Amino acid sequence: MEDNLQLMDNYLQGNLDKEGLKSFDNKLKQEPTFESEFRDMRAIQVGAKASARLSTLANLESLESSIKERETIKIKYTMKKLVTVAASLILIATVGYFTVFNKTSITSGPNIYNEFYTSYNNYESTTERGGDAAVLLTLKDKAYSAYDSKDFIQSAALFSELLKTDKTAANYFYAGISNIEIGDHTSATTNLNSVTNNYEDLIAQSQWYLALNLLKENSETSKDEAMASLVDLALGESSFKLDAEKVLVKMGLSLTNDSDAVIIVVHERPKEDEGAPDGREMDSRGQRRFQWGQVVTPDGSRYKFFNDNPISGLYSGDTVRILVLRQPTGKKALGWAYIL
Amino acid sequence: MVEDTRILRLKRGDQEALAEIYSEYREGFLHWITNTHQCTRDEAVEIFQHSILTFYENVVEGSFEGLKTAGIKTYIYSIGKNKLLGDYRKNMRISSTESVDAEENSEIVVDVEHIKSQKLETIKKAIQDLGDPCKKLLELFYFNNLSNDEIAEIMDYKNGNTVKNLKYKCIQRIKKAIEA
Repeated sequence: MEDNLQLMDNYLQGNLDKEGLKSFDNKLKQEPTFESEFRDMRAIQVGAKASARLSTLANLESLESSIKERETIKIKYTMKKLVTVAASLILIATVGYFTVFNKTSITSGPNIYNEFYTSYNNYESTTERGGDAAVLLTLKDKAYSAYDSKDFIQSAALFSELLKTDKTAANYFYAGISNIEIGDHTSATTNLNSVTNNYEDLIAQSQWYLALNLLKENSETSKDEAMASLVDLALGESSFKLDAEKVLVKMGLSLTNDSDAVIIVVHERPKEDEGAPDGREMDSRGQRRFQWGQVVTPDGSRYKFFNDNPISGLYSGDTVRILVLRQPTGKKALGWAYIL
Repeated sequence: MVEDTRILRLKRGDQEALAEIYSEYREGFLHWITNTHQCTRDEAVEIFQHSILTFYENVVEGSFEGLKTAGIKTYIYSIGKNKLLGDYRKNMRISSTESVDAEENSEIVVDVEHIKSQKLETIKKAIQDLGDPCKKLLELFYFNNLSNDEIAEIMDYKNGNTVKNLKYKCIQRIKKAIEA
């Protein structure tokens, strides 16, 4: 029996030469018991391989869980009231970056827009053009085709029509980019807000283009809103992280150390009773969802804060941990808090 | 070119080497694939795990050898890209069946497809239930294609003969489970 096992193992591991293989095949044909045993062995080999895959996948999933757990802790403490070592490491890196450049002169919103805005390539849909196929193009095909051709007046109009029936993150996003390209910044804000309010896809991309679009508008309110998106991107891990950091520097913002603060007043827009998006239904009105208010630090400095992602259960009197983005203009207590 | 020691460790079934590779390339891969192929983070993780598992299997089977000059990163990324393309063609799934290349030179093929799935499930469960050392030994032998002597060294047994005897006992126990 053990000899048979050795023979089968040699076969299964590919250790038999041509003669050995021939002999093995003959044995299989002539000895039904051996053939039956081999079938079992083959099944055990397949089972062992499948078992190894299962074990490996289980190990990878366990590893992924522990990585996600660490990420969750980081996010949790970034969003809530305590600072962990992990969050501190992010802060140290970020503070270091901003501190180095905190003497940089301030660049205006429109100039930042001109420097950083680049057209976004369409990764969503490709269309064939020319010939009879053009006749068969759907509204979606036409919209993306116009976008690919950089006919943004046409693509903006087509996406607007498309969004009446096909509300997807991508359609809103490319509609927003088309709007920016033709200078329709109000519609761009509405469409990009619709992405961040309702979907999980294209969030970082939407935040980035929304921020640039708002900087182009160049009002005090739009600047605050842009800053909130940029801080979110700068503290995140998206491909826009570095550019967001650079823009904040261009805005003349330096980041102070984290500190405690007490919420004085907090508002949220839109309010829940005004039909704020809660994930249960689509909100396509494009009203930016955000939270703002004022905090006071132990040294009596007051800062307004502005959160891109509202923190539920945040009330006046709550103690929070904040970063302060400050402009080196000399104005006392001029700055914005970012709640961690 | 000096071979990455982690490849050698993977061939010997070292799961820590796989964890190191997973951790090293994970963030870059997820970042790359979510930005270039418009998939969600969860989908990206699934694709990455598939890529790592396929990479591991290819290292064990030796098919990574010819491509190792491209580097681990390029190799894993190309698996991920192919997986995505497969997904798009709706042909994607992590295969749970086994290739039959071991029998390609043989006149008689015991086709894996003919191994009843119920029997296969029984065997998989039996191996998992047996636990170590049987589970590890059988996996090292049949998945990693290591010899009895190599397994003896990894599992700290006296020699290959000890492994051979233990393997025999393990297989008998699985056979009992099949017959039960």
